Amino acid sequence: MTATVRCRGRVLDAEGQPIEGAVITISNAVPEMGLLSGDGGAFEVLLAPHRYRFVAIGPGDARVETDVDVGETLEVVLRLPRPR
Amino acid sequence: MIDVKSVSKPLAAAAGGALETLAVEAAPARRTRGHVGSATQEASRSVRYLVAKGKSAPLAPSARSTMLETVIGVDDRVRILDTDLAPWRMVCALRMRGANGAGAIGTGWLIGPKTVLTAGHCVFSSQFFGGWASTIEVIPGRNGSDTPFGSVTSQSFTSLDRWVESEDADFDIGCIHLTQDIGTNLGWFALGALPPEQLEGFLVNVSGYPGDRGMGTEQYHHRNRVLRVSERRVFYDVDTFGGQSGAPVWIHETASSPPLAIAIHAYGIGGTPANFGITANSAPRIIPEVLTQIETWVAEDGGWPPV
Repeated sequence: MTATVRCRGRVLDAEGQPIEGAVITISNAVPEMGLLSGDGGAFEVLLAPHRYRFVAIGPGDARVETDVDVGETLEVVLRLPRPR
Repeated sequence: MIDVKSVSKPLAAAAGGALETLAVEAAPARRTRGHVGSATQEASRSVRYLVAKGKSAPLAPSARSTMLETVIGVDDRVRILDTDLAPWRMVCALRMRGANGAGAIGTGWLIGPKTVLTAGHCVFSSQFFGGWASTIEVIPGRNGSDTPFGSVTSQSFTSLDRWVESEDADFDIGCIHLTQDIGTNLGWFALGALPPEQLEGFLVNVSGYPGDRGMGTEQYHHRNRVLRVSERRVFYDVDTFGGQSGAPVWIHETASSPPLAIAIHAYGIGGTPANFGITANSAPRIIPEVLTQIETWVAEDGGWPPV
């Protein structure tokens, strides 16, 4: 079984305030589930070391995405733009 | 022929005990009956204009960008607004909560009066929940902030042994057991275990609750042709997004046939083997052995009413 690492993240709004209830998806060989950010905008997931694309969706379908090398990076901060 | 077994979420009182298993005999390919529901029989205009039926001629190969996401090329998803009508009302937005406190969204669909089928990782995921989900809120026909049939919350789930023990993507199938009958009113999908050669060329429909539209509160549909069928999976060029895990993948065998669910959507393009040479999303198929297990799950919830 592939070793996994615990990757933690936070979703923030354009002002740097945490967003609870934002949807986070992680693309590339993981199931199509959407995580929800909790208290403090926090989320957590176990992943095999690899390059993933993290996407966060907030109120008004505001969206941010970033590619992360999980293994080298264990904390992801996703800062949403202002809703259009 | 393979052997699949059911694994249940341990009851709170039995936490730490051995997992329950049920032996299953393999079964030949077959279908179960669906039910349109006793709620309004008004015909959905969305069905008339959006749902694909029958088979299509082979599609011409098209240039496609290789994206990590699962909206393949142009986003062709269409929002369903008449979610109070069949079959859309049988499709449920899911709100999961893990024992570790993690929240997540997914999609499920009614397959009996008190039974909802979904992806295995919506009920059990070491990756997201550290094991079994603790609760799942089931919201049939959700349409933004409108929940036309309310919601029910369950703490009773089952999956297949091959998912729980090794999270094998070919068996990424889960079941949510309800304590109240909502299917008699809303209806449920028929299920079909069809051989691979019979599925080739069919147009498939996928409808669920993607996280990038209304944060998983709006139902979106897309349909397209089956690109490939393997022993246990079906691959298709249908646009989806995280949150649609567990959505029904259904066909209409003829223009007048009712919907027949043949797979459970679970994976974006990252789940398609590179050597297939296609850009596709995919779902574990309802193979005969899995259908036998699903029938057992429905029976444990009280079963289908006699015809």
